[in-house]
Amino acid sequence: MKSVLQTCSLTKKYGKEKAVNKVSLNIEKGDIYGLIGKNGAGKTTIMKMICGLASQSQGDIKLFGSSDLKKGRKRIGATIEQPALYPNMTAKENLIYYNKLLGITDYSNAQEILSLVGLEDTGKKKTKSFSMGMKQRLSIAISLIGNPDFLILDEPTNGLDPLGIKQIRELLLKLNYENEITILISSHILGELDKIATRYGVIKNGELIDELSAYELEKSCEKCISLVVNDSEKAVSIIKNIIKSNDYEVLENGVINIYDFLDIPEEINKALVENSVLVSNLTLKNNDIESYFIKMMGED
Amino acid sequence: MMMNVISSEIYKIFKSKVFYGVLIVLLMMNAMLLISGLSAIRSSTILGTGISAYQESYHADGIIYIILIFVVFLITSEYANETIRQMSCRGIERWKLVLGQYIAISLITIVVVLGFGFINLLLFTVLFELGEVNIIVFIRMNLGMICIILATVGLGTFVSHLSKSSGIAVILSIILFIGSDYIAKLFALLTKKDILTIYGLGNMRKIIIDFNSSPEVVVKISMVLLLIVLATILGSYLLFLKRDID
Repeated sequence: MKSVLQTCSLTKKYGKEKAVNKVSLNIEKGDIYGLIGKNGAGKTTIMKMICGLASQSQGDIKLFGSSDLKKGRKRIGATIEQPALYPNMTAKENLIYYNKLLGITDYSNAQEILSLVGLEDTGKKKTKSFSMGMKQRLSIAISLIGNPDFLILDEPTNGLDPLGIKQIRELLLKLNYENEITILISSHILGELDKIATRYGVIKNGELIDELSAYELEKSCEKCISLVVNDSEKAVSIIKNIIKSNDYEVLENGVINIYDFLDIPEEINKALVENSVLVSNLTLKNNDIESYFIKMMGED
Repeated sequence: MMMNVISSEIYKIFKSKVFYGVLIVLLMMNAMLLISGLSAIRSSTILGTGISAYQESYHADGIIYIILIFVVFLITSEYANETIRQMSCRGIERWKLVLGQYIAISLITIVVVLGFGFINLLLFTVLFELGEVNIIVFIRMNLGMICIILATVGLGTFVSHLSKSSGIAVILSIILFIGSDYIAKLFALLTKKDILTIYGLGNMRKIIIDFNSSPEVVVKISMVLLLIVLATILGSYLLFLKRDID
């Protein structure tokens, strides 16, 4: 898998305060990488450093496997913080400007991109009259100019209604699947990310506290019966042969998670105890993604 | 890539309100110049000429203030709208963005300012006569005016990147323009070289548009103006280079 973005101990200091502290990310081609964290966690600062809007205090960034960031940044499309538009221009004129800036002489892509984001009917309306949702869509459209290989989107669904959020989500999935565009997307709305992200990075107080794939997250949030036993080996044998479960996971310190037979915890307990396996703890775990991340970010 | 920056900036200028505002103001100024010129000519039997009207187009300090305001509003609006952030994250070197923007604004300003001057020249020529001037002197004057415009745009660019706010930048640039004459006088006093008094921006403009000025002085003044261009563009680039863009 080709690396699109690699950061190594990326740090940003403002005076004595570290806004980003030794963040090492690795995003592969084809990923939709969700960067999650509270407001002020450092997500936007990381994105700004990748795009060249802010200089790093320490650490390295590699784009597309190269330290030549000038070259790599030409293959990026980004929307950072709130939409930045020319208020006295129309949507199409804003796109034509960026086409000219990037040396693209065929402006027919402008109308195509506007259709992609649902702004094909804005006509001569100036962007100063746009709603927040329309501005957000146009901002995403601008990031698509130049057919980027890597999209960096900072909370792109802010201000959008539920239908708009769905449309943008479908657009991003389409771009990722059909055009093989790698996407780094930040949000504090977990419900949006979990529908599209293939990998997650959790940022807390400027530090990357966890990285996990969508599969690992799903597994962590899956309902299960969690046991603490005195003899894991014997307990596994009972689970396989007597309870007849193959969907289980053995962890450290005698912890075993069973993902099926969730409706008969008492039978599981009885089978173990009758076969001389002591069960010191038995709980039904039911983490949803939100609870999982909130717990990870240290909130109650 | 530089041509892309320049052409995109020109496109943006033509879509901006401030450009058309400046055109209207210049039109009004030139109309007032025409009316006052015609009245003076009628009342005092002075013969007007196209050449004298052309000179008169650049006589007032107002033209410098208009150029400064134009430049400042164009550049500081990028900070106000945060579009400077979007421009800067497309892998284009920052020096190209600063220089490309400067070149685009300068080109437009030169065309507009000299264009209005030539309209006055044509009008007065049609109404009265062209007048007489040595062609070399006329070309030298125009080249000098171009240097004045380039230096003024450079000054506006520098203070815009320095302050990022239109109000502060306008005040600062006008103070710098007016203050340059006083700074030149101060240098002249300190060094006891009266010749240095001519190097204030206002004085340099007056000398350039005067056909009777010595050619050597006009050339020296043009050199000084080009140095101002270099200093202000370099200063703008350095300000923009390492700055984190919010």
